[in-house]
Amino acid sequence: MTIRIPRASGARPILTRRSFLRASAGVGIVGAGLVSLSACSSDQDDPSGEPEPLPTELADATLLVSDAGPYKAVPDEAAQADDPSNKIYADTLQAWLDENPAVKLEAANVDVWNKDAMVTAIAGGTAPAIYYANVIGSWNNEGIKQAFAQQLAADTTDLVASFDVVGRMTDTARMVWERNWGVDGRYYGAPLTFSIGEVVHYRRDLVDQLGLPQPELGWTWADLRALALALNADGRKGIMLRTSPMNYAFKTAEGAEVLGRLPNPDGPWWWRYDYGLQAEAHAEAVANIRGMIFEDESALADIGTGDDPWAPRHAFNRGEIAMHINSIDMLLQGPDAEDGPVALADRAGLPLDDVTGIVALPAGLNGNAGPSSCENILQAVSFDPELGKDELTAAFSLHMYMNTDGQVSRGKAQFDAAQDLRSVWQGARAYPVFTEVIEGLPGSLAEGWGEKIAASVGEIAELAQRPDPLWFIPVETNPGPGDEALNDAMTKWWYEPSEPDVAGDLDNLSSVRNDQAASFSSSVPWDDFAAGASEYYDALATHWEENAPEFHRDTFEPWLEEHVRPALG
Amino acid sequence: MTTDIVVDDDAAAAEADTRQPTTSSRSRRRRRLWIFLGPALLLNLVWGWYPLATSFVLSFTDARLRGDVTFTGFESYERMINDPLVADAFRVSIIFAVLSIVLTFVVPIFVAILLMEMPRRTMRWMMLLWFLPLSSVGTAILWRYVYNTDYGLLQSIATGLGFDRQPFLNSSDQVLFWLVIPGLVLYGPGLIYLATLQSVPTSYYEAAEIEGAGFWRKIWTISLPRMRPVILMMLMFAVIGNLQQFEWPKLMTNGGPGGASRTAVMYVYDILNQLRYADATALSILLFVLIMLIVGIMRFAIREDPDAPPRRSLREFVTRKGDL
Repeated sequence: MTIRIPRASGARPILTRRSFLRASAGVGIVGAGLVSLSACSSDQDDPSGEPEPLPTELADATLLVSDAGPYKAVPDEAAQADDPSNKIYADTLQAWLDENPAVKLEAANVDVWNKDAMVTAIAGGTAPAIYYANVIGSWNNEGIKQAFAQQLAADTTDLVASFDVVGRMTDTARMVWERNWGVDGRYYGAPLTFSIGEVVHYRRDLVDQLGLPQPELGWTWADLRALALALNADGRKGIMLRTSPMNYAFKTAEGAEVLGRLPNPDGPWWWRYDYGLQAEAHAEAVANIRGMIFEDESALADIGTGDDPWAPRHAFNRGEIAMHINSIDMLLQGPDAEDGPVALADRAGLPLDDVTGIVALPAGLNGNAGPSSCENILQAVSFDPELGKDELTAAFSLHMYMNTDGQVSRGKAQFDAAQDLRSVWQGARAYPVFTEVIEGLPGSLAEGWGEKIAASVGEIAELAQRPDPLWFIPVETNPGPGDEALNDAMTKWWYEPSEPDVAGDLDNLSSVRNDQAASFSSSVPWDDFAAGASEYYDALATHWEENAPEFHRDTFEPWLEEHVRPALG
Repeated sequence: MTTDIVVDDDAAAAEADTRQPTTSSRSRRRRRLWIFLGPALLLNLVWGWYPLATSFVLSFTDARLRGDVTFTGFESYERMINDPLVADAFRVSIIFAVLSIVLTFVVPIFVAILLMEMPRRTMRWMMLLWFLPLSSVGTAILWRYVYNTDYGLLQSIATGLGFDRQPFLNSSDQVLFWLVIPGLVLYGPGLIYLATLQSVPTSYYEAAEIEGAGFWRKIWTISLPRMRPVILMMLMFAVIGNLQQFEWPKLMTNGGPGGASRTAVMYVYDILNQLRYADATALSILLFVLIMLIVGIMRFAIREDPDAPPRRSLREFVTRKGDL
């Protein structure tokens, strides 16, 4: 199959990867010139038309798999003897291999968690058959879609249909899958896990002891500051702040990401930046966070700790801090770890969900984000684009088994071994993507981790998701400017002790980003972009009208009418 | 009895002129030369020059990993030159290199000289410290905690001594200084300087002392001149290495705060992560040109050893007998 990527501007001489390498091989040689040869292609069949029925028996296929996941080869006897979880995994996988004797697994020495290593392996034809799609897209939706558009994953649209993947997913997971993982109606992977992403972890017991109200949906960053100050006592800090949650406070909760970026019909890049439009509100939001660190001294924040998720988790479970903002996975894992949440609850002599609570991320001071803008996250796997049809079918089949019947049998075996439901409903496996797994596993999230935590997870998962431009605007195949300038402004605000000139920084930020953008050209025709952008802003208006009416009325609509609508025409 | 050996260059040159090499002996010499050079050239070609040339070509394309690659001319260079963060990253790299050379390159010269005056036991301990095979990643993470503004060792010392709380890595004005400091303690070319000084015959110093030379005179007229070729070589390595600094700022500050510690190579890495391979190679080529320029100027301006005879050309080397 050959995926043709639309080009935005006039025809240019085309060179294939092979011809490029040939040309460069001669380069003592720089002037050898670039010659157009044949199109690069993979050996997948054209997926157009009706999906083929699945074969009753998988054909001969040898799949390269990485020890680092998502599915390693069957562990040897010694490894199984050393670790009971290896034995459970081996039994589960072997059951599938016994049913599909024509499929063989071979270990591939590639670090599937390293984007550079993975991208190089995919381009060089040495990638494992199955790998984490989020890794090759740098864990953001835009990056993932661009990676797919650059042919770094096999097209799985037919297999997704043949296995009825969408029909078997939970409602929340399905919504994320359909919105974030499709590219022009095609799929390039399969869902793996679902998560409610980052939440605020806090000491429920301490809040009760102080007689304070429990934080709840709809609270703001100002409320979080007040709570951190109240909990900042007895040698314990109120909160430890990582870089990305603070960035979230500005970019997402305060709306800078949306309100600072405007359509730019003059091109060649269809976005321009003007962060100064909301300078006053942004300065207030920045001052709120800096106040926690430099005035109240209730927050730990150090550039060396940066975005390390483990430091705050350890500090929280050791009782050194009362709050941290982290992935929900940081709570629901390691039931037997000495510095895990169970150990903290044991030391307090209370049930776990009476000691640790979770609550959605706070809304911005200006009311943006509505009750919250927690982001539901779907982790997915992709498949080596060089796989033949039989190998791709085998790899997809293996993935589906390990995440449905295989996950159920592993969960049952884990429960039999540990007699602890937390070992079944832990980490990324705490929220199965497929309904049949939730029904098949013993117990439930609530039985494992407590009613209060399960209720909070359910509440956050149901939150309205803020529309993303990627849901409406065709995927750019030309990369655009990076976020470094934006991140620079934020790290300066969060870590520099000297008082910042936020308005000046915002102007400088806009200027840098516009200078960068001027050298990029969009691959999407303006008309398509404008149509998608109009839909996106309409959806945003609806979202905020429903979830943050004041913000919608006072800030968003005036901004939309003055700066966006005229540009979109 | 002593034997004086005197090199008579004029006589040797006259003798060489009388021995005109034959055509066959020249070709034999050339063959031998290529046999010796071949493996090194091949390795350099495969692992050094070919990737370099490929990068150079890539920088003129859109460098997609899969699918069609399109020739884009100087677009990537234009994009990089117009990107204000590129200039910032080069500025950071240059400041880092200068700081690092001043602190971790110059200081060990004097430490090595002073150590030569110390008891052998002290000298051995210092050599051991310099020579310890430390993991740079592990060490960087350790230093991250040392510099932590909330519970780091240095903060405890600073506040314990009555100073105000210090921002250390959190200050864009100070971050590069603090990033360079661990190199002063743990790395640097001190060991090589010590080894060079140990190879200087003690008779030089004894003779100088008999002539009445003091400590500084010995350093100035014996130690430093003897170390000069090594110092210059190490200086070149330091310039090349420091302008390509990546590991420490990446691990300790991720380029922050406010991009104050984002070096050029870190920016290359960031761009690579955005799948902008052409831009990344273009930026790498710009960095390569800068480094080559600096190294070229150094090679041109500074003679490594003023006592050495003038360099011979390769042709001279091949045609003269008795060298191989």
